[in-house]
Amino acid sequence: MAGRIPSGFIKSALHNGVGRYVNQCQRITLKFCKEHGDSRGMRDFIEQELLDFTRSNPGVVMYLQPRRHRKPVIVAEYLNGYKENLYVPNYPKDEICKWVEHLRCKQGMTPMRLRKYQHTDNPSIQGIWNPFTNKDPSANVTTYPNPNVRVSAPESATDRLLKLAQELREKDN
Amino acid sequence: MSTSCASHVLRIARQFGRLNLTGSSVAGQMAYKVAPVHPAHCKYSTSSCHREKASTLLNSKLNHKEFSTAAEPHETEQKDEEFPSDIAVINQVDTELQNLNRGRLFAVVFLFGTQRKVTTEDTLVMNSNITANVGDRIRLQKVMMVGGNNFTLIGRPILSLNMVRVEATVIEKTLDVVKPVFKFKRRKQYRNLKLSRDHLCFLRINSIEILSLDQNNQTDTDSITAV
Repeated sequence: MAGRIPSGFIKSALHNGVGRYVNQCQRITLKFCKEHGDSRGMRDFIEQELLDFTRSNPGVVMYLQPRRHRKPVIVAEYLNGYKENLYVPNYPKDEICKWVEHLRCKQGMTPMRLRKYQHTDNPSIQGIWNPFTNKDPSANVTTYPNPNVRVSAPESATDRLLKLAQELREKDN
Repeated sequence: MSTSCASHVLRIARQFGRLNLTGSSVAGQMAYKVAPVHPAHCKYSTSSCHREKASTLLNSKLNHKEFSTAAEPHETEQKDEEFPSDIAVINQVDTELQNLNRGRLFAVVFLFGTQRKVTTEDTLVMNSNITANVGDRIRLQKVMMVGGNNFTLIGRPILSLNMVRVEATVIEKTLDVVKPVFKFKRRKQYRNLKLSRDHLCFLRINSIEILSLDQNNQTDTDSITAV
């Protein structure tokens, strides 16, 4: 039985994106074996795709760490100190591409269920609505019941129905 | 992060279910075709490919790309006559806009089937992936309402592109926590457990600007988006 999924609210590192955007993923380490079949996809990735990736993402440092007969891992480290290990044994090259890209685009926040999909520091611009918003302020000093102020409709729906029924009855007679 | 990416503004508005990534529905505005790959299968080579194309486009006039179809003509068309009282109100709003101390603006934007009330520096999460790269600045096209302290502009249903510009930065693209989808029918030997992870995309609202109060003002949208 899995534990309770932690929940929380949106976080963003240091108001990232307000002025300029700083990529939060700083370092990716690829750990793999040079001979084991588990690491085949990882080795293909390194041979064929790694240089393209580093060229298009100069802000991310890539480290390679060969480890004999150990499972291949992608380790991503972020500016806030968060570190994520992703074990990718027997993953094909394309999937490793996808997961590396996924780790690059993250902000490094602890994974959690989001309780709100929006965060604002300025919840109201025009003031919080209340029942008297845009109403005539004279209502504040009026004494009720007041014959000049119509509180409810002069005729209720029940009254109207009864009246209609009465009219019909009179017609029948 | 290549500079070419940051310097051009991408535009996004509509649900991705109705996205037109390959077609040229917006004649003359679609600068090039984007490969119709599912975002989940996007690998970095696809996005780097975007970037190369975008950088070449910087030299041309069409220096933005569309992630969605543009607003239908009927969605921006408003043929009502203007009454003298309207002009007075417009002038009042105009003076309000020119006032430097007018304060913060807010906008209601239509985003992936949801309506969000946003103001600058807000963080939003979309329950979907987008093809824009992290750090890219995008324009939210479907603005339903804009307001300040003392005035509100209401679109029917959306405001013209020439009237208002809302821009955001993609700050994160990630996956949600694993959600179990468990189906069970008692006495029928049926149980099915599936695990799913949704895409999440974090946006930061950068600016809300009112460009012009005249919705018929035919401003060159290309020059607007070339930030």
